[in-house]
Amino acid sequence: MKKITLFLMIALVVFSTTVGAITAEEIIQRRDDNEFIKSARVESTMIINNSGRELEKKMVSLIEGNNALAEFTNPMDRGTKFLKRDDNLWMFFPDAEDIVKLSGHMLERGMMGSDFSYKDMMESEKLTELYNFELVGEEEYNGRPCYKIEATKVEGAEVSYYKRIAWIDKERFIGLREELYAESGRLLKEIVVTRTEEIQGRWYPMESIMENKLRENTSTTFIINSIEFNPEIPEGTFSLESLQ
Amino acid sequence: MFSKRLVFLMIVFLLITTTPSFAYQFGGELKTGVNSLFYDNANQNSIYENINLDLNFDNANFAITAQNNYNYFNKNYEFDISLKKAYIKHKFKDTQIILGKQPVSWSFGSLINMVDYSLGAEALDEETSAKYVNALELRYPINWYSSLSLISEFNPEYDKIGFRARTLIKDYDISLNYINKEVNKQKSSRIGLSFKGDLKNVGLYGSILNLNNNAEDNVSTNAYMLGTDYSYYLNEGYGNRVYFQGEYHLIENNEGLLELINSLGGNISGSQEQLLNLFDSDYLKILLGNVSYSINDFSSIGVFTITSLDDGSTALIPNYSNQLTSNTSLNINLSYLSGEENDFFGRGQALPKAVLNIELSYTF
Repeated sequence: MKKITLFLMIALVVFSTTVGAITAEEIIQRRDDNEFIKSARVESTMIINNSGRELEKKMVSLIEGNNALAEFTNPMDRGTKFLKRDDNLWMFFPDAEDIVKLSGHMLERGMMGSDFSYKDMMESEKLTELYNFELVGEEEYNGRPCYKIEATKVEGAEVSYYKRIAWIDKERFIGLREELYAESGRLLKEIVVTRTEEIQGRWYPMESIMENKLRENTSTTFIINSIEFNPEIPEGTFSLESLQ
Repeated sequence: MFSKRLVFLMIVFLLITTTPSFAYQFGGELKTGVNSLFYDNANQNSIYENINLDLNFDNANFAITAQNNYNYFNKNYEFDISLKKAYIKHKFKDTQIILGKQPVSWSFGSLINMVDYSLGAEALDEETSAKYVNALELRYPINWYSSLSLISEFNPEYDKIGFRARTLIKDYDISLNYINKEVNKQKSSRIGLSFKGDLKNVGLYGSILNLNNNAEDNVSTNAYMLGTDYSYYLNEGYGNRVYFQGEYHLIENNEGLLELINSLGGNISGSQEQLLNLFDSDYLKILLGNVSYSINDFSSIGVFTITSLDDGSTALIPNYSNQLTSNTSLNINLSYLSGEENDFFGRGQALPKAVLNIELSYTF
């Protein structure tokens, strides 16, 4: 009888461990469920900080898959618009009322002087398709228990960062901190999420700070003032005509 | 007479059909600056204040600009106020109709654009008043990346129309442009093709132009341009950016050159006859360059160069910009002509050897 009880207890422990274990891919999948945007309308503020000096930029963006339309509303850049269709980027200059296609190398550039690139700001990447993941541990971050995931780019995938280490909230499945690395192993950028909110049934980072580790005393705070997931976007929105 | 009636009818049509929009944006820019002109024997300094006001509705746009200018050299004070934009627009089915004083530009990212609607409307990232015209524009989108536009300009001194077809082929922005201008029954037409795209990590663009001028015994002038741009990022590609842009222009050297030369920005000395006699070669060869370095998130330093490969004369334009606050920026530009009097980028008798501009601007 004692043997049967012992066997049952071991079986229960083994069974419960197998059922409860979550893989790195599942964690990222659940994070993507929260953070990946199919389509959205976002009103946001960027605060660019450099050695104590601050610049504030505001914009309204519409995002749908790999396409995005963004318009700046702060006085210095008022009316400046960007249209991104896949890897093509167009800019509308409001004073001259001119549309110019920007060269592809500009996509990697910091958007309007920020630490976020045009790709960072105008594209929602489904990480599960771009990286291989490994669960390397569990740590607490800012009082929240987190999974620590290491992601290395899938061979042939076109990504901005070769490796990423992310701290993902165990309960809410939202990234709270992320380190972005070059292929050489050098730390390039760090993103820290300072405020999250549950919107339309999903947790989303509403305020984050991006720090460029290759430049001293510089960071960009990105604040989402409002976000609407899956809004109705009129046909023809992502067109050169709508830029004018 | 016909064009005046057409304008009147279009205004009536647009006023009747346009739904009034009370959503508006109001803003503007205040600028103050110092201009210093350096001649061989003297300097001239002037100080100016400039205000631009912009009132923008969904279907109308109004902008005025006013400038005070005080020249310390001849104690001359000037005040000028002008209407920069005043147009209404209306969408009739798929066609966008724009009527009034409006900016017309067919830029594609080049430093100098010879296939633009107005020659010299933009040069070296700076626009001129030539860009703003009284016109009727019809714009018809074919799909998200293709469109046709037709412009008919109203000017008492000449008749001018323009047509542009724009599309995207294999990620290259392609534009076919045609402009016809008639002054005192003498016609001049330009037909041109421009393209812009990427060759791997390098931006590539260019244009081909044919100018036909029946005022000069039907002289036909061809002009070709090839340009490239590239960004290099320090620190493994993630640090500060160095931006390079270069353009090579080849312009046929005949009477048509005089008309095209307006697009080079105006730092040209000498009379028309002198210009034509400057070179023995069949083509005028111009090389343009732009290098800029982002010092940090707020400031950058750079230099534009324009060189005549025929006589080696160069215009150098170093510049520095710094965004001091979210609304305030500082720009410093120096223009320097290296050539002598008879060189293509020479000073001539009337032009200074250098011009320094320091400008502070505030947007609201």
